[in-house]
Amino acid sequence: MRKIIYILGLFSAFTFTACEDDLNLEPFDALDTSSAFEKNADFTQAIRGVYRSLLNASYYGGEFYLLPDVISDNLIISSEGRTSYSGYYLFQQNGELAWLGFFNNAHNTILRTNYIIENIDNLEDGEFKNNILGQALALRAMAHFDLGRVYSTPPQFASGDDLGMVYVTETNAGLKPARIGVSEYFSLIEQDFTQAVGLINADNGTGFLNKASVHGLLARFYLYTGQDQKAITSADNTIAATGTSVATFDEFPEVWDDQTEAGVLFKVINTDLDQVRIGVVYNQSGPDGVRDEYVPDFGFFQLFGTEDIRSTWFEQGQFAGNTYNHITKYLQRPGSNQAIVDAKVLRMSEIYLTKAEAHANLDQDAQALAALDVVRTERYDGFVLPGTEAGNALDDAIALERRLELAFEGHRHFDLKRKNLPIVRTDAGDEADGGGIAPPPNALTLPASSPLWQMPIPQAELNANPNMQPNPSNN
Amino acid sequence: MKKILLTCFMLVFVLYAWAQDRTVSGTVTDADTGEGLPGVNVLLKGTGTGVNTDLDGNYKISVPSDGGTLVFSFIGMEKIEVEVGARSVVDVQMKADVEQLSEVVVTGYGAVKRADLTSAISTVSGEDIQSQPIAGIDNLLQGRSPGVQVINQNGAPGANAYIRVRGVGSVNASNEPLFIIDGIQLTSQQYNALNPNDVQEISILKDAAATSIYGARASNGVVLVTTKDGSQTKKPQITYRFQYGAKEMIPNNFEMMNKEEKLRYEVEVGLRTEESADELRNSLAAPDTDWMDVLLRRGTVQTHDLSFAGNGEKSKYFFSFGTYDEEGISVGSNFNRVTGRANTEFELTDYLSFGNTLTVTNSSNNQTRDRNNVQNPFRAMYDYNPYEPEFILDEEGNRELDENGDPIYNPTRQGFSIGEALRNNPEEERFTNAIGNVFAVVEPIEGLRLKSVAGINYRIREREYYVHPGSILDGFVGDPAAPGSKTDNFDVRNQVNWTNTANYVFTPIDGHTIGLVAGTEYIFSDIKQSSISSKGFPSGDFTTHDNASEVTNGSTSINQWSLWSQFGQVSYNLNEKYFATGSIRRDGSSRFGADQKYGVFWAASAGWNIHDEAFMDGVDAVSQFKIRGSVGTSGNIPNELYASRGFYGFGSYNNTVTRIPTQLENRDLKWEENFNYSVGIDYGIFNNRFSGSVDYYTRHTRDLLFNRPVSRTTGWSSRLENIGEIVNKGVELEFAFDAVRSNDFTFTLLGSFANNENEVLDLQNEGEDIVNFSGVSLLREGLKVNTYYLVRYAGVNPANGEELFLTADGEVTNIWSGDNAVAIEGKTPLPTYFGNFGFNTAFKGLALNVNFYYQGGNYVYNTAFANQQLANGNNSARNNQRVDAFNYWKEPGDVGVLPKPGVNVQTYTSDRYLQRADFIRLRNINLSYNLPETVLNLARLKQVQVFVQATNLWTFNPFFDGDPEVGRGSEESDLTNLGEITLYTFPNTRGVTAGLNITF
Repeated sequence: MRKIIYILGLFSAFTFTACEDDLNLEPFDALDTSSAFEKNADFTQAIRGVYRSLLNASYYGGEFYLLPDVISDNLIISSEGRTSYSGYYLFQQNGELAWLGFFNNAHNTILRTNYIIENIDNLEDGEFKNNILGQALALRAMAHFDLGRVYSTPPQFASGDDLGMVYVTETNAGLKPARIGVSEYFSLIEQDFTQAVGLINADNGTGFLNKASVHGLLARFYLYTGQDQKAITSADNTIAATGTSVATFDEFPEVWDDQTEAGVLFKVINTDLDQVRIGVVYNQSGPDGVRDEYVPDFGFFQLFGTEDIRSTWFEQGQFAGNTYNHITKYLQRPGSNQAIVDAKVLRMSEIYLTKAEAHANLDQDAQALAALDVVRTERYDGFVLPGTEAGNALDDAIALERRLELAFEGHRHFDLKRKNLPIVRTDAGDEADGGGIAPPPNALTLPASSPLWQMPIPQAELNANPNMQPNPSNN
Repeated sequence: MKKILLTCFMLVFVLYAWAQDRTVSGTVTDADTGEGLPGVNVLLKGTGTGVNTDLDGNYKISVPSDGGTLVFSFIGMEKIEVEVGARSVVDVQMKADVEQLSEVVVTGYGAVKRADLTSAISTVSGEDIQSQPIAGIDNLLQGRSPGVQVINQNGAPGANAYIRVRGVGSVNASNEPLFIIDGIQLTSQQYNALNPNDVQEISILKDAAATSIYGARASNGVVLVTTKDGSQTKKPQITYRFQYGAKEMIPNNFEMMNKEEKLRYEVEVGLRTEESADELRNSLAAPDTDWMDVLLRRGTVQTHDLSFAGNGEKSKYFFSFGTYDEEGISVGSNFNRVTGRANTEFELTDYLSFGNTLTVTNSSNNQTRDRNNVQNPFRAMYDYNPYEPEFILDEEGNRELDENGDPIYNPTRQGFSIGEALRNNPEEERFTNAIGNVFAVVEPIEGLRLKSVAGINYRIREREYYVHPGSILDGFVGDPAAPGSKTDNFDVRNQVNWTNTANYVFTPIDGHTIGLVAGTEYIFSDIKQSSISSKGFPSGDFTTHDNASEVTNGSTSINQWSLWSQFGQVSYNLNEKYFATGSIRRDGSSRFGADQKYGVFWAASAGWNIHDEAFMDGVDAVSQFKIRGSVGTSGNIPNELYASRGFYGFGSYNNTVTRIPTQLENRDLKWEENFNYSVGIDYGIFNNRFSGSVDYYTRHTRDLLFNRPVSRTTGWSSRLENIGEIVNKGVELEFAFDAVRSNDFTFTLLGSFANNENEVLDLQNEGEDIVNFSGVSLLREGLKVNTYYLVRYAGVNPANGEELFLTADGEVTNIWSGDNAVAIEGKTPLPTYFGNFGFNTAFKGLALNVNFYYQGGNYVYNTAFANQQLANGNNSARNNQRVDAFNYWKEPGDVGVLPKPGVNVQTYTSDRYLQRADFIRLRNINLSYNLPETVLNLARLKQVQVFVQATNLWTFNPFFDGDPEVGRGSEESDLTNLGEITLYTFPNTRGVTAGLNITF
């Protein structure tokens, strides 16, 4: 009997031992948001986290390079590819085909900056704080600018009731914000960039913004928004701040496999650990050849002369019995897997071409030509200085050079858009000699008047946020 | 108090001792074997006098002079009462109590006689699922229980099944039932680790009355598996089972083009000139190739199973050892398993016993990649063209050889040879599972049973994925300077549980029986995962990372969860006629924040055995008639482990550490709650010749765990919240009809039917739809769950062959736009009805069991159909097509045709590819023969059975192109719901096996 009582006692002692404390489990790979910003190192890590968001495959890690060229006259689809992004290529954008990945990602970049900005006063005043804040503001402005370029009318063409996007400055996930006017939106971008320039360090190392590259982003911003004089000033500030020029003729090919930083103002570093296959949006190479997703528009391809160093961006090769012009700009970095290279966001040649175009717009042909020649002399074998163009011919030369120099870096669509120009594709096929399958007739041109120049607002956003106004293209 | 009781007890004993005057002796034997039965309890009725038989079955007991009545009882045997009269020797033969064994139903933390049940519990006998050529215990439940829908995820060896008990009650959290074996919670990945031959019985708890004692994890039903313990057989019994058989893909109901047809099609569509077609027609390097023949093979299944079972005087035991080996129908797919089990129980004293259950299993599988491109052989066999050979051939049609003299795989126009990849990019997984417990049972007073169980569920997963250096895939994704890449995963999960229960049954007043259950349970789970990736291997023969030139990636992670619960149950019955049960459980979970850590779940139920009423006495036709009803709640936990918290996590930029926001906070997050009520009738008429049950249920799921979309401008896309409500309703019928009952010949008809209707009642999303990740279905208030959401197809323009669509407003248009998608009301992926029917018949030693499974009312978006017949031209028409793709528009006036294909014609998502998927399938047919006893006795064997069986032999499929039994679309693009989309997953198989069961 006593044994039974012992056993019973033992039994109940075990049974009613509270295990309630064991319900408080902490994750091994995260900390509460409220304790994420305490020390300097926390902010250093958080600002790196913003740069990392740029590397997302729907942002500078891939699509943001591709789609502005796909929705333009620079690329046509390969009939032997996987028909990736063909809806965009065929001008079939709608609420379900509205670059949702980029929309999400750019806003996630903004969220990461806003967490830093909201907590910035946890830091002591001084250079460290200024530099963190400067980078956060510049990155916030850059993401808003990218969104604005995709979804809004350029402010110089906008009417009074045209809409910009939402300028997000807080981390409250419960917000359902409405869009603001175009001019207000773009002036908020300018404000962040301008404030950032005053705060950021002159040098933060490769892969990070600094004073020169923020000046450079401002130059891009001013040119896009039609503010030529400011574009010139910002370009000059950039040039002054870096003290360097464009990559030379010899250096140029090495820019694309990350062997040199020459002429690169800002790039997002893509390590072997990240494994972001930036170039896979163009093609994949295998033992039996390179399988293209997109190939250069044949008319555009013919603009790259043999004396042009940029003709090394193409290789002819066979696939499935046909010959194609493969785009090899993002093929490979030695030692890394295929298609893994750093994402070049801003280069000195863009700054010079921006300066050239802005001067030309202001009929300052001499300065424009000089800036243009800085680029041209390093791109063409045997280029004779100085160039000879003036007037409209100079305008055309600048536009041509810009199209060639910035091809496949996500500019062409926006350059056409800010100049109110149509897309006119060459009626030629996808094969190396212009044979093969040409764009269907309804995809040969997109008039400048088309509402599709403002990408539709993603349906997912319209569903979740009743205050979000659609674009004309949503209908 | 105890002293007083003891004194009373002593007094009674003494009184009787004084009254006795003589001794009776005898032997108790087993009626089956004639051998003595040890340990039988022999009791003088109406007294406390009792003895046990000795090892040989002999006993000796004192009785009063008039003899009195002796009661002989033994677990698993029918109780016998014998009038002693004047005899001094009373020999007794005891028979196995078949009734008692089959009638006890395992319930949550206890067991109940079926007649006493007040809740909806289906049982599946272990015998029904044994010796079948199917690895997973989950798949074996298909068609075994009304209201329990089981659909194979796919046909891969060892693949899992989807189990849906009474519909779908969740959108974002799990819809799988809680699966418990011998008190230990399993994950679905472990179902195929168990040996089905070890199973004694499976109970499926369906209504709240049965499930709510499992509280927060129970809303999708509970499956309780009880393994064998040896109580079935007294004498040591050795059983050996063997089977061997073959499997093949269930044939398609359509035909693919051959070489000539495909070339003609390509010319007609404009993908190829006549000249280039002629070139291929005449080329010996392009022979007509049937890719299904090339990529498929005959699969095989072979199993061995050996078990030892028995129970001695103070112990019970069951040991088993089994192997299961299946070669899949494609190269590179197989499943091999070795299982061992040791279940024992020892009675140490009258009131204390100890025991354990333990299974240790080792399984491995090779997987083909389950993805929607030609890296998956089951897509490749449709996509590769019939003029593309497996190996590159020269102009004479001979194989070209590489520098090693091996034939060179043809990458085809897809740029990828799956035949090569299956050999050079192997993916292998190995699992080691140890699942078991130790338990102690104390029975301090009669009727009170205290049980403490400590269980462990330990699982190691090892995965290796190797892209051999020099393989075609390596050329696409690898680094030419460091060829070959490999990833190894190593995960260890350790889940422990400690469960304590007290069960007390007592009868305070005659006829009033009260049962009490009280208990606690603690579960803690810890998963450690690690992985390593390297590149640069010397050759495909070297697989370990110490051979690699560079380690490229490595990671470890830990995830934990815990659950701490108290529960109780009270049951009452009056004269086994009126029953009532109430239960309650309080669960605390680590997954929720401080504000919502605990949840309380309850249930109540009642039953009435009407046939026991006096007014039914005259109604002889009715042998059983019972009404039961239940109401109660249960919960469902989120998949996320720390779901209520707001987090910053870490990553890397430029190989330095980053911190980034990873999760939005929701302090109010709590369980998904089910409120269920159901009523049921169990009936048996004409001496139970016709028996069955009818159930009606309603299941309301509230506070759905749902990722509510937030404005993307916030930088997030959704937040996990409790929103919305879904209702499931249905009827379940089950019947059995013993058409013939005689000694030599029996014939029983069986069948079941279940239907399910569901509706989204509330989404709290401002009236907006929530479109599912798949993009082809949605949730909308007032519609069924996962109603398809598609642009409507409006046929072919007879004038020009263009594909036509309807706009959202119903206007015909030739321009497809995703904005024109509408909810296709009434069409969803979930079957609205399903069940089984069949018969069991036996004549002398021959037995034939036939089981059909049927389901329907569901629709599937048939991607394969879209790609292979209706490609419309463009890129996908370059892949092989079905022969009936020729039936397209050719000239004005053509009707009843496919749209005119063309080089620039796109294939658009529309309800054109949405197909009804009703089917009836002959799931299993089993013919067996038991050797007659005369032969067995000669060989000193207990039982010898030979059998042959066939699975999925025949299918009635009136609407669907391809196999209508659709589980998942594709594992690697796992965005789809059950049965929503076909995406070329591993096909289902049919097969025939033959085998042998011998019992010594």
